[in-house]
Amino acid sequence: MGFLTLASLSKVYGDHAAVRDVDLSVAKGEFVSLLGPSGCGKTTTLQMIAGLVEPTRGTITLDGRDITHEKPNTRGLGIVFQSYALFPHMTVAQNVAFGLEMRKVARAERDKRVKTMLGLVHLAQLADRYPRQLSGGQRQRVAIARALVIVPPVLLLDEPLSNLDAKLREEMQFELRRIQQSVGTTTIMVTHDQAEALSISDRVVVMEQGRMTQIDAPYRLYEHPATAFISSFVGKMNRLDGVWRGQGPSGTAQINGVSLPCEQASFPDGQTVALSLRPEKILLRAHGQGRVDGTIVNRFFLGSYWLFTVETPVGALSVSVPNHGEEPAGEGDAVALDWTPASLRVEAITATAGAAA
Amino acid sequence: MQKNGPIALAFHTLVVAFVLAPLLVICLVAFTPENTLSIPTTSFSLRWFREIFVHPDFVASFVNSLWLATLSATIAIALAVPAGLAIDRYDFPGRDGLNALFLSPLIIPHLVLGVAFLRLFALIGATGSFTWLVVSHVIIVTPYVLRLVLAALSGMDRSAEQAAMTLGASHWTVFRRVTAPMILPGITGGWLLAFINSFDELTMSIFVTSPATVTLPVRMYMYATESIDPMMAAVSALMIALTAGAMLVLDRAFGLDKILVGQK
Repeated sequence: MGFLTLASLSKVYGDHAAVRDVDLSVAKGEFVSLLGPSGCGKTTTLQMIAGLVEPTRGTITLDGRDITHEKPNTRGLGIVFQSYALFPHMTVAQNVAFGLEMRKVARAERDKRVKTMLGLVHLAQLADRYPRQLSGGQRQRVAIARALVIVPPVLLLDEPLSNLDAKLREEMQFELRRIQQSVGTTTIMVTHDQAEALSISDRVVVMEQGRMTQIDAPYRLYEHPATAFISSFVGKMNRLDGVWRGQGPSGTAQINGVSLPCEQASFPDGQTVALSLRPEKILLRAHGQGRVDGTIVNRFFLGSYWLFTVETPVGALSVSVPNHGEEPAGEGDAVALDWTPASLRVEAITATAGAAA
Repeated sequence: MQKNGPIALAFHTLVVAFVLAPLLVICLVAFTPENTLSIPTTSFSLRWFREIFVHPDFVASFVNSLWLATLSATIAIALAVPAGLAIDRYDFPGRDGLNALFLSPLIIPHLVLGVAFLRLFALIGATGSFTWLVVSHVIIVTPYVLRLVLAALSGMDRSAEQAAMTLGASHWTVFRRVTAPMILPGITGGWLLAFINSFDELTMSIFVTSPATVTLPVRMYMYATESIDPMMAAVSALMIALTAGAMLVLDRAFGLDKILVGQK
C-alpha cells in the first residue's frame, strides 16, 4: 500500500470519460510525473487528487486516510498551478505566509518559516516585491514556496514549467528537483513535455485517452515503451514495417528482402512486424562496412549532436551522432548504418492494432 | 508609446475644450456681481455664493442628495457583488433571467420609472418616504455596478481562489482575502459610477421626491423654472469644486489608477 493511492479513479462528463479507472500507488518521497498529450486526463486526475474536481467513481487514499470526498481546504496538499495563481495584491512574503496564516501559526513562527522557505527558493531579497514585479521564473518559485511552506504531505504540480522560455525551463527543472529532494515531499507533476518528465521523475505515468498505459522508471519507459504511441511520444523513434521470415526464434525480420539483425524474438513465418530503433542507437560507418548502406539526404546541426536523415533500401532512418568537434559526412555522401541487434525492437502487428495505427 | 501627430493633437485639444468650456463659463458666471447670468468683466463678487446660504433649502437638499447617493451606491454594491458572483460562477435555472432583471432598469426610460414609482408609492402609502426614495435609486444604479462587478469577475484568474482554498481557506475567507481584493477596482469603480448617477438623477426624482426629500438636482430645476439668476451658476461651481476636490483626495489617499484600473 503506497503513501498516496488512487483506486479505479474515474471522472465522467456527460458521456465522455475524461479519466477511466486509474490505479496508482505513490511511495512516500517519490517524484511521479503524469505524462500525456493535452486532453489525456492528466490534469483532471491531478485536480481530483487536489479536491478541485469531484471523482465520479473510485477512491483516493492518503496515508491510510480516505480523502476522496474531503474538501480541498482540509486536505492540506500543496498545489502549484500552471498560471502560478499568485495573489496579485499581496507581497511575495504575504503570498507565502497565507497558508500558515490559515493554519493560525503564530506571527514569529510564521515569519521564520517564510524566511527559511524563501531562502530555499533563492528569493529572500525579493520578499517585499509584488508578483507583477517578478519575472516568470521568480513567480514560479514563489508559487512553489507558497505550496511547500505548509509542509504538505503531497505536492501537486500542474504543468509548472510550461509558461517559461526554453532555457529557463531547463534550469527550473533541475531547481524543482533540488527543492523537492531537499524537503523530501512526495510530488506528482502533470506535464506534456516528455523531456521534463524523463529528466526529473522517479517514475513516469503515461496517460492516453483517460487511461494509464504505462508506469515505469524514466529509462525503462524510454527503452521499453509499452505501446506504439509511447514509443513515438517519448523521445524520437524510427518505425518501420517488416515481415518475419523463418520459423520461430531462428527467423529474422526482413524489409524488402533485406534481413535486419534484431533483438531475441519468435514469430510465425510471414507475420507482419513493427520494427523500432532509436536514432542514437544507430552508428554511422563508412560505405559497405555496416548492416545497411544508404545516402545522407539531410544533415542538421543541433549543438551537442548531429541529426541525419539517411535514405536506405529499408526506408528513411533518422540517425543522431554526438558532436566530436569535427565536421562529419555531409548531404549526398554514401554511408552505412550499424547497430547492436538488441537495440532493434520487434513487435507483432495484429490485424486490429494495425488498423488502429 | 506612440506619439500623436499634430492633427490628432489639435483634435484632442478641441474635444477637451468642447467638454470643459461650458464648465469654465459656469464657474466664471458664478463670480459675477450682476443680477443676470453674465460673465464678469470689471469686478468679481462672491455675492451669489453667499446667496446660497440664505437659502437653507439648498443646503438641506445637498445634504439629502449626498446621503441618498451614498446609501444607494452602497446598497447597490451589497446587491451586485453577490448577484455578480452567482451569475458569473454558477449555472442555475433562471440565471439569464436574473441577469436580465438586474439590467432591465437601464432600458426603461426614467420618466416611465418615475410615473410608475409615483403610483406605487401612492398605493403603499410611501409618498415622501426617504427610505423608498433610496429604494428607487438603488434600482436605477444597480445595473451599472453589476456590469462592472461582472467584468471584474470574468477578468480574474480563478485559480488564485483555488490556490487559497487548497492552502486551507474557507469559502468566506477566500472571498474576503482573495476574490474581493482582486475585483476591488470593479467594486470601487461601480460605487463611484452609482454615486454619480444617483447624485445627478433628475427625471425620475422629480416624481418621487416630496417637499421633505427634495434632492439637489430637483431643487435646482424647480428654482430655475421660476427665476434665472447667477445663484445657479454658484451652486454649479461649488459642485464642480467639490467633485474635483474629492477626486484629488481619493487620488492622494489611494491612487485613482489603483482603485479604478487596478494598477499601482
